[in-house]
Amino acid sequence: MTEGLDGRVVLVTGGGAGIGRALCLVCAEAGADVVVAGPGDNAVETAALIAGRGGRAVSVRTDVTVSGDVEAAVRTAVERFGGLDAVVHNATSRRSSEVGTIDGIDGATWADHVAVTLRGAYHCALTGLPHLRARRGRFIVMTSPAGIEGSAALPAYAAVKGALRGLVKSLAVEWGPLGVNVVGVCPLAHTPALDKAYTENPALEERLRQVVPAGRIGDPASDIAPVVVFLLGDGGRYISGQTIVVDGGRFTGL
Amino acid sequence: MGEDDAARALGSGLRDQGETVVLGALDPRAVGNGDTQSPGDGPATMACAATSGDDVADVLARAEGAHGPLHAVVLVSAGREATVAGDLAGLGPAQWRQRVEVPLERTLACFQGAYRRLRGRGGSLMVLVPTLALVGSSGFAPWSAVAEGQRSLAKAAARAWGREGITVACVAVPGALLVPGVATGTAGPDRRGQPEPALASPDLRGAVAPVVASLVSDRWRAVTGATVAVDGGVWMTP
Repeated sequence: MTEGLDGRVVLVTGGGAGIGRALCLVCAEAGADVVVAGPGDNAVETAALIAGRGGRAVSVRTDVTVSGDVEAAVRTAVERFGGLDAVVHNATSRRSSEVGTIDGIDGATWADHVAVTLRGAYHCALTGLPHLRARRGRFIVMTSPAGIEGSAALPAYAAVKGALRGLVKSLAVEWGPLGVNVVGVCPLAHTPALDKAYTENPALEERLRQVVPAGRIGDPASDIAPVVVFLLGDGGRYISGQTIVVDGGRFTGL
Repeated sequence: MGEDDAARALGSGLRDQGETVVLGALDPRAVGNGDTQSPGDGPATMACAATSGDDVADVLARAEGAHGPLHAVVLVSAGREATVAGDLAGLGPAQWRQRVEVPLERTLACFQGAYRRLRGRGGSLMVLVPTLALVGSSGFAPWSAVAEGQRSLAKAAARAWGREGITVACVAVPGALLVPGVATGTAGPDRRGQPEPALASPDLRGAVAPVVASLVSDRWRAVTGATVAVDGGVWMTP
């Protein structure tokens, strides 16, 4: 048994920045061939970073709300690297950090959250399954503490991240007999969105630090990505249907 | 709020508990050509398409005008499409939208409408969800996603609205109770190989409705954001 990912092919959505980029870099360091799927030029930068470190990666311009884009990303994985062992659906709406109220959620905001987080997961699941099944692969979905505890400030984000957890549980039951594991990962980590929130609310960082027993907010590369690598490796082969909370001990409610 | 046998059964049970009940039916055929229908001894029914928060708030306002002050809104169903069985791999984009996205849109509309009527005076919002959302069930990924989205939104609402005297909670019941045409006591959509219930399997009218009636009373004013499982002791989730 190895915790490495040598010879495995991993596709990461939202791989251009934040946690997604960290996942790509660390998976590549662990030996995986990585498909960096992202809607912007920063996905190209992520792939270049991996190549610069001696890894193998390809970027595919991917809007996860468009099924054809996801199909192209999966096709690239198969054509370039010979197959697909894991899909990590990390992409989230650009509006994820927009503070608001339930009463104030308008149709466009709600639709964007649903499209990127939920419909994106559906596209990844549908397109990825035949390949994941062939390799007894993994489908990892990045969710959020807001999807477990709710969030007064980010209600739309909380709703779709919670919905992802429901998808994970039923898909894990459904796909278990097919040999595919489905797992949610719930990180508390520095992201561009969180850093933006710090800028807008300087007291937030200290307040968050105080409620995390570890005394700090997680680092995407050194705290979150290694857990995902573990889940993608041999060590994670008997884990399915769970939401793995990686948050320095903040949430202890399960 | 709902559109099928489950809403009527729960409504009848709440009436048994002394509540005045008005059903908001997603399917306009439930009320024919009139604004309200009161069939036999069942609860009065009003059409509510739940297309927006204003739409729901308007129906609630009319219900109040006809039947008295509103104390609680109970969301029993956001559309039977979500409850349809089928592996995700066989789900087309249109089906996905009908089974996941539309029910979630209706859920948001119900939350917004309920808030617009209850703010300033307090009250309760209850959401019935299937226990399969807590534990997963093959063939029901869409319904599971909808229900977990509802639970997460309920927690968000509970946190936001508590200071306004509005409590929000979920009641998790066997999925079979919420699917039209599935007889009580059958496995229905619930996960295969589930534990035997420690108690008798509940029904909506006799077992679930009394819990809901209690949850919306002042006795539970310190409870919000919680999910109460009324499944006869099957899952006992943490």
